[in-house]
Amino acid sequence: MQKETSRSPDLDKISPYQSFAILFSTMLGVGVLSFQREIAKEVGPDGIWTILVGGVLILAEVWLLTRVMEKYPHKNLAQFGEVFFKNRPRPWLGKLVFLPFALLVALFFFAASAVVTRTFGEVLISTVLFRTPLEVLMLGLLGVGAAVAGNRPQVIARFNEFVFPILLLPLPLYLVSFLQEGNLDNLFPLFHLNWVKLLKGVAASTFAYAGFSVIVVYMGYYQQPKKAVKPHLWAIGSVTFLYWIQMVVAVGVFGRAELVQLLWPTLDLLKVAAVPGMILERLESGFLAIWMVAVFTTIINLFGALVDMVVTFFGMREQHRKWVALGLLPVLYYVSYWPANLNTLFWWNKWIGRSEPLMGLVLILTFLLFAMTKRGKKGGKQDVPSA
Amino acid sequence: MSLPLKRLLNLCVITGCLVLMGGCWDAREIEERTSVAAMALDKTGEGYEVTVQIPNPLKIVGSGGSGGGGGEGGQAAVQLLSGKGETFSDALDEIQFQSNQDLYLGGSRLILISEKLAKYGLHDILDGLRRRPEIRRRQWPIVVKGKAQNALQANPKLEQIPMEYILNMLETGIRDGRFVREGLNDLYVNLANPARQPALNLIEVQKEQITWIGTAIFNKERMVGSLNRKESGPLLRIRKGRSGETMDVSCGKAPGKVTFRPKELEKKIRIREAEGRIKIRVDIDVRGSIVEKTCDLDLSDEKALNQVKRTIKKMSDQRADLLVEKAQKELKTDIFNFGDKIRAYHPDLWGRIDWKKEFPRADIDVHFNAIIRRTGILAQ
Repeated sequence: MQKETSRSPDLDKISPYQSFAILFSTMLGVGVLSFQREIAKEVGPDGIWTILVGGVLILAEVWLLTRVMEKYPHKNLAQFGEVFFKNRPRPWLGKLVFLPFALLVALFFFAASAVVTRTFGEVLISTVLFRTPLEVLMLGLLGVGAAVAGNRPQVIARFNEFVFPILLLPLPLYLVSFLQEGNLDNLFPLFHLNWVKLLKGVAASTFAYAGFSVIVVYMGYYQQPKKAVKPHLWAIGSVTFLYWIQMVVAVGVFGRAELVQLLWPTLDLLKVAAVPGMILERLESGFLAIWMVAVFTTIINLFGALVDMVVTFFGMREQHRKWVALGLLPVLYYVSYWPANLNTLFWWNKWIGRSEPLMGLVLILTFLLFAMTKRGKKGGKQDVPSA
Repeated sequence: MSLPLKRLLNLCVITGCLVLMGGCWDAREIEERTSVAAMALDKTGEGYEVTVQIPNPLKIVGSGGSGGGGGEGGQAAVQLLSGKGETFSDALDEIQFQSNQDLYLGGSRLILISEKLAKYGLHDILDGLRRRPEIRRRQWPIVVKGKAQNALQANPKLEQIPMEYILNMLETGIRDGRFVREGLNDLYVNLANPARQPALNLIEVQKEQITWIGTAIFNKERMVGSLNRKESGPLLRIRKGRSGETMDVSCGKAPGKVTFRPKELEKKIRIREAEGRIKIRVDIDVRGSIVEKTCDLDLSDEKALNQVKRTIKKMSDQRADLLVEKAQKELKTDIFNFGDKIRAYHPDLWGRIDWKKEFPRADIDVHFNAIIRRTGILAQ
């Protein structure tokens, strides 16, 4: 720890590429294994364009959020209360006013990490590790998660940067399975829905995009917060593109009727693909290892954001960060063990996905509101020098 | 914490992870499991009988098990285990109780289904298969006339593991366009999609001889009939756009035959509704070559060639009409998957009609157009 603080402060920040990696790999989580089913259930083949609509909506929201946040560089959500109430008689009041928002976001990070952990535990148990107890799998996931999440956000960012390329490995295989088993008839009929269905389809796709709100924490550590829009948009764009390919492949190979029956359609896609020469015969385990990385980054980024919020909000010392992570571990474990079965779990997944865009909207509006009142009173002095 | 102590702690954590996380509770070495190569499913009274063929790695050439000498082949290189039960899992359990290691179905590449079971319905047994994550979607389900178990007991001499004979036969036929290409994934998809119907390959086993005899036609999960070799040709061409087997056509006035081998097909399906009926028109361009001729017709003559083309077209149309009639009258099943075209490209129409009722009275018109590209390496 001593060594690192002696570095130049600018290098010890999150670079634009790292911010891209963080956003990309947080969003790419357990959703990638099953989002096609939820969408196909609502809108069938039309999912191949409603997923794009969902992506564009999230893109717009992230753009807004980034633009609002970049006005307060080097501050994260937990410090916003103080920023807004900086020149007022009672700065601690800001903290109090902002407490509900901070709590809301923290609760979201908490619930999301718990649900992601449990979902991937279920994936492992139902597909490859039948005999391993769920407790062991979840403790393993959370334990490693806590070990990384107990580090400063800059370290977490480097971790994301490092593992990002691995997440793109399964892409060629989706295309192979589409070429081998895809049927164009399955992709039709298109544009056969009304507004209610369209809305439902878009709502179903939000689950796949869940996790984008971690930027409210990590943006506080960006090297160039003013240039954050570009990597953020790139990240959402790439995730949307990846999901679009997966959606087209899943619908094309299985068709709506079969897709809605599959628990983890992406895994079944791999069972369909065959590469000549029997070199890559049974790929599920290998690709599960890749998704394990994807899920780890999601858990770590959410968990890390939660830890950072606690640490910043209470103004704790840097050395205490890992104890916060370790302290949260048993609580997270307990909560992720909560859902009785897969149905409850999917219900949670669904509502976490739906609540996030709403939460983002609430945050954007609040920031704007506070920024406006502040500007009115203090004459537009919004660029606070960094701490 | 002092530095050496911290290092020691880190070491302990890493070693602990390595020891504990090598496959967790599920670590199984490859020799610790009984790997099934093919399954045969039969219907017995109340339940099912499952037979599995397990290759013996020690008996296979190249494994070096028999001291560098050649391995053994046929039934000597495999073990058959079978179990009965009221459900698929039940029967599998009975096999497990006879097996030395954990039964592993992930390597299975053939699922042989007896005709009796197919006629009874596949639904229950497929559920048992579908819930198991290790079962691959890339394997071939085929229907066996008689008992499915017999197909695993057959002893063909050309392959070391008997099931490989059936597997290779199937894959060759599919590659050549002679058999329907319906894997387990296609079967699942065709069962799930209300507008499609499954069709599986049908084989017959007599002692040493394994023969492909046609296509088993399903109405959803129940087999409703079968098509013989001659009928399977048009089915492949209309349903999948595959070439199908060769055709013998008459030379016209002269006695003798001309044999035409279709190679490439281009198919166009047009669907419309007229006078309360669905009208389907299929146009298929068949490109192929003449592979044999037993009459004195000069094929270098454009006129004669056109004559042959017309005969091929006429015969193809006739056979297709017969097949359509069989599908509509006898099988009452949309074996060509026209329904899926309606669902995909005429969704409004699909929403209005009950295809199951409409198919037998639909007006289906199949037109072939033969294009002869080559006449072998003889000029005439």
